[in-house]
Amino acid sequence: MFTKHLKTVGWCLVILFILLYGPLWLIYSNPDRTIPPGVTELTITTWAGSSAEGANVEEEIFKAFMAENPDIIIRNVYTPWITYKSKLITMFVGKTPPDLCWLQMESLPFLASRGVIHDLTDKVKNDPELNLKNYYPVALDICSWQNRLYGLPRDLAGWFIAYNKDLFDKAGVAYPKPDWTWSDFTRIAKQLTKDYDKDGHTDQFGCWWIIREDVMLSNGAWLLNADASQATCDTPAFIESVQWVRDLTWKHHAAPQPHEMHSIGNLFLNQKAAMHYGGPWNIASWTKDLNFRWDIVNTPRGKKGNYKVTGGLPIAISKGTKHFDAAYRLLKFLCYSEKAQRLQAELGIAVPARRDLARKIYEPLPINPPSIHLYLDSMDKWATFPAHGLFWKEVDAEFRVGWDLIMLDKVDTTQELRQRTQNINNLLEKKAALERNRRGS
Amino acid sequence: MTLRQKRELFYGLLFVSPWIMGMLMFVLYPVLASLYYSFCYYSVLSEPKFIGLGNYFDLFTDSVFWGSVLNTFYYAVFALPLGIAISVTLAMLLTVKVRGVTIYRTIFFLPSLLPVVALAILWLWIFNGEYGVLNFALSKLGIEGPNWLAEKNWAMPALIIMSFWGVGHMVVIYLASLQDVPQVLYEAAELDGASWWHKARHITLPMISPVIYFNLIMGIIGTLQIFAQPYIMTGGGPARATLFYTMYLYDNGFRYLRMGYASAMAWILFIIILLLTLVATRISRKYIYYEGG
Repeated sequence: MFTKHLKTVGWCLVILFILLYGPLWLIYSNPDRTIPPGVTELTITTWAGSSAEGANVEEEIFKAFMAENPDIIIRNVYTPWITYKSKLITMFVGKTPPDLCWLQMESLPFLASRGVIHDLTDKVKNDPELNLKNYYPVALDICSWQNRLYGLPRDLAGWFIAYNKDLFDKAGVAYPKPDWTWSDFTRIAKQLTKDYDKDGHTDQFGCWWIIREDVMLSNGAWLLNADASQATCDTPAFIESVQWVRDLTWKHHAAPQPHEMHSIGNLFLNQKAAMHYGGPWNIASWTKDLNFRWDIVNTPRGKKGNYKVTGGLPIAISKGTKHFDAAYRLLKFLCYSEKAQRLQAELGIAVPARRDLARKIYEPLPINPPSIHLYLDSMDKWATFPAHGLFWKEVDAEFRVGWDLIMLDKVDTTQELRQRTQNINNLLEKKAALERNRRGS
Repeated sequence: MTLRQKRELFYGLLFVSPWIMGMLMFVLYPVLASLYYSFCYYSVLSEPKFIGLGNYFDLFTDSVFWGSVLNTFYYAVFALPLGIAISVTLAMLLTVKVRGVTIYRTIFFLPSLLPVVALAILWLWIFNGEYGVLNFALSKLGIEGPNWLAEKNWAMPALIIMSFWGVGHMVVIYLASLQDVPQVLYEAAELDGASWWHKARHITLPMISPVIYFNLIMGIIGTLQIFAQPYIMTGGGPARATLFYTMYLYDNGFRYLRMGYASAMAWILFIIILLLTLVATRISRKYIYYEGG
């Protein structure tokens, strides 16, 4: 009796297994079989942020493309930002690469060096429909590796400083001028730092957090030299930049110290900090949610001018694509056509990478703060991170140890940066040897 | 083998085949592949290149690796014994027959049901140096609390303290084992004039020692693999003060894409856990009392 029931249960399990995995196997072993004849399916990998709004924008853009190109359908593979790189690499390794992929900036050199994305330099240069001069120069930089173009830029994003006009007015401090310097920033931040109830605890900070890279770059300093082979974080300009951030936090206490930042939410949004680093990605939600008057100003100038750390979205074509021409059509649509650039601008994602369209489409958007034109004016002068190299994440992790100690006010800035320089150089030497080993040279 | 036995064997194998296939594909193959990759330079997108013991030698000269080993043992050495001591003590207290004891038991078990991420966020607030409830409570006692997670020397103790939040699971297991201790032993001891401490030392602890041993082994495995809470709460900082072994392994595998190196780390961790478990098992023969002999 028991054996009979056991057999029934066993058979049910086997049938369930076949029913569950059989169709999956059939679909994934031949993904094209559900696609109508004459139609090409393109797969593109994208990431979604914490909201569904970004995903909806992409769907609208893809729909517009498919309406114009009925012979192509797009399969969009969304992945959360945090696991995007792993997912993309798994697809490449699993020999099921997407036709096109969004790239995180530091991924482009890695994927290009591994030969898994197309070098588009010649194709783009010989394309009469595409004029690269229409792009902001920095937009092409973020798509390049070793002077070759491995993708096209869809949008650009650089930091600005948002400020709370109400808090400025309350403190009687003049709004920042477009050509302000880091000294001006310190002075203003100090004026806006308040302990209203005199209990020894700061009630309002001059600014929320600082993008250290902006300070370094505008001061003519960077972690690595031009070819990313040596650490340069012990140069006087670099030390001066780091010391400036440290002083702002510890000497003037115009920005929160590390322990004051843990888990307490965004002080700018809570009107407890008068200034905040932000970018175009913040504008839509801030316009909607902030219940105080605010505007933006460009990041301050340093000794080397107003050098802004720039991000953007390069889109690349996988070398494993079987539909290069169709993929290239989609790439051009996403990154060059006015229709796609308008959609992404109007739906509030980012600034178009095309200079002409940024002014024409993005600037007049009603959600923008009053001084958005100053931000767009500065875009021609933007530059990307000078040198990432192939081991950027390791270099950054090593530098962060020193940064943590300095920002905890525990060590001497100069000595610590010298130590980090030595450590990063050792690390780069080791990595270079590994890379030579990989290439068999 | 008779025809009937053969048929039963066939059905048996057939019915466990879904599990066997899953195990082969998703457990055995990755385990063996990781062993092979641990001897390779493998940056995932390129073909793995055999380098013998290169990754293992590199690990021995990697100061970050040793730092992560040290951090992990620092955590385990304090979190595990203290966790066991606290949970045994709590379980013994919860066996005392007082009104509402079942409510107390529930209260101690409830925190361990909280999901890891929610728990991490909660403790981020508790440990906040400026506004946290822990420092507020300490200030009422006239103690100025440290900036727990932001201080290099305090971040690890903070994580150790946080680990006691989840002792509820162990308490439940100890409670069950305490119910099994024969009352006659206590009665006999009382007749001999044994104190509370003597009863605990000579009856309770020996009688529940197999359960302590079980929790010890599970604890060794768990504490050496700690990942989620520090990953969410500190990201390994400040200044790598809470960079645990598994976090560095994850960084190598999925951030730096050094899968061969990460595989070597995984195998070293496996060997460490295996050795510690063997040592614990060997010691247990002397100190663990099994009622059945």
